[in-house]
Amino acid sequence: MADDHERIDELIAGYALRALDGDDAAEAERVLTDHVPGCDRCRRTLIDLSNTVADLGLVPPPLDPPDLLLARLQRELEPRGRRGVSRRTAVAAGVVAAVVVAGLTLSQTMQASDLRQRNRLVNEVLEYIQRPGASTDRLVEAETSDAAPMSEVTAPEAGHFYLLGTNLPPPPRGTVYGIWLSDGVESVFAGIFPWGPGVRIVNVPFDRARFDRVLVTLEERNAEPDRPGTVVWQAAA
Amino acid sequence: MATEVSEDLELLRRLEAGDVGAFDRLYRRYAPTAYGLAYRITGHQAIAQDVVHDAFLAIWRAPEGFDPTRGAFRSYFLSLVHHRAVDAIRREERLRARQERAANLEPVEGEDPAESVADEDLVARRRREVRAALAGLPLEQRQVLEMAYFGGMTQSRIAEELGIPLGTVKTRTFAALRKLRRELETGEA
Repeated sequence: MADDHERIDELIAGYALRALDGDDAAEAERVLTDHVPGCDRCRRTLIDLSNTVADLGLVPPPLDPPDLLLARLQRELEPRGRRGVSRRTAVAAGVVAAVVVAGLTLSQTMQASDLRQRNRLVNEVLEYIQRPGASTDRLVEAETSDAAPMSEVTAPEAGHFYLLGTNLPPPPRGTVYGIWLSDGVESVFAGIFPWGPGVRIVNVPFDRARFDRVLVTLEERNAEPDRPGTVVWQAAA
Repeated sequence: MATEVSEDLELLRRLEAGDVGAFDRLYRRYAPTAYGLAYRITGHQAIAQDVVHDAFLAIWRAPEGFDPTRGAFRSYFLSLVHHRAVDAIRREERLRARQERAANLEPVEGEDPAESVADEDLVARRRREVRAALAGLPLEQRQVLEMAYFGGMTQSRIAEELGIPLGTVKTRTFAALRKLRRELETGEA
């Protein structure tokens, strides 16, 4: 375990610096999902190194931004009242609702009402992907880092992103595909991804300030999971 | 430091209630540091402004995303800025031009006019501590840390640039952060 922890320390350091790629990035995703949440030592290391890295932000000399920047921000501050629900509840509930509405199959067997919903959802995705900086990225297999049959469509500053699954294989009997949003330490269950033939699309509300990855897991059917099950696919969000 | 932390928590509490005045206060407190960092990483004023803009807007929209049990708000916010700046330069693929500009425009230590008027005492003290700790690292450790943090380079790219094994980059990086952590803990005591 000592050797493992030395390796994990180095992975955490690279992760905190946002400097991992390739196999190391995939390995870090696995470690942060499977090991760190249950290991006090590594959890502490992640928090300590993240705070140390953040302190490096103080090294460059401060510069006054143009006055126009504050004016621009003030114009864009949408009014809102006091929030009555916790962040976790708001995020999770929002996603579950969206999955129910938006989890549609694009197969040949759709009903007319499904078709209208599908068209609306497809239009949403097409409009979304036109946004500046929008991108589509494949999730990867948790075990092998091979490309997954699922992609994410993200855009800067958007409060949600889309997951697209294509001809997803059925999950093992008694399980469903779960969606989790994670920051490497905490994970929040965000709902179920429907499987089946054709393309399925899910709109996932997303707290960008809080989470930086999406996990697709195997969860027991009809259960309310409090931690991620086996991670099948994953990606930075 | 305790004052800074408690003031930030109070501002965030007001922010959750939609208090624009609290947002202005947070902006004035952290915008110069955030902009300095974003500019150092991106080397481009417009991109740096977008990075800072996006980070502040994220805080306005989700102030509850900050978890005070995991560190100071300043750390959380600078992480937001750093991640966005690194993502921006990777998207823009302007690494080479940025490095050249940043090298030419690096302000001389102690001669930055913004530093004296915009920095608050506690932040200024911490800034000095971090700079001293970074300067005290062995050169080979500081080099990999700066290439990753300020250069936005991945560890494999750093290994390629320096012509050293990837494992060496990883070892040096962790050693650098561990040493920095110890130095800064001493500074906090």
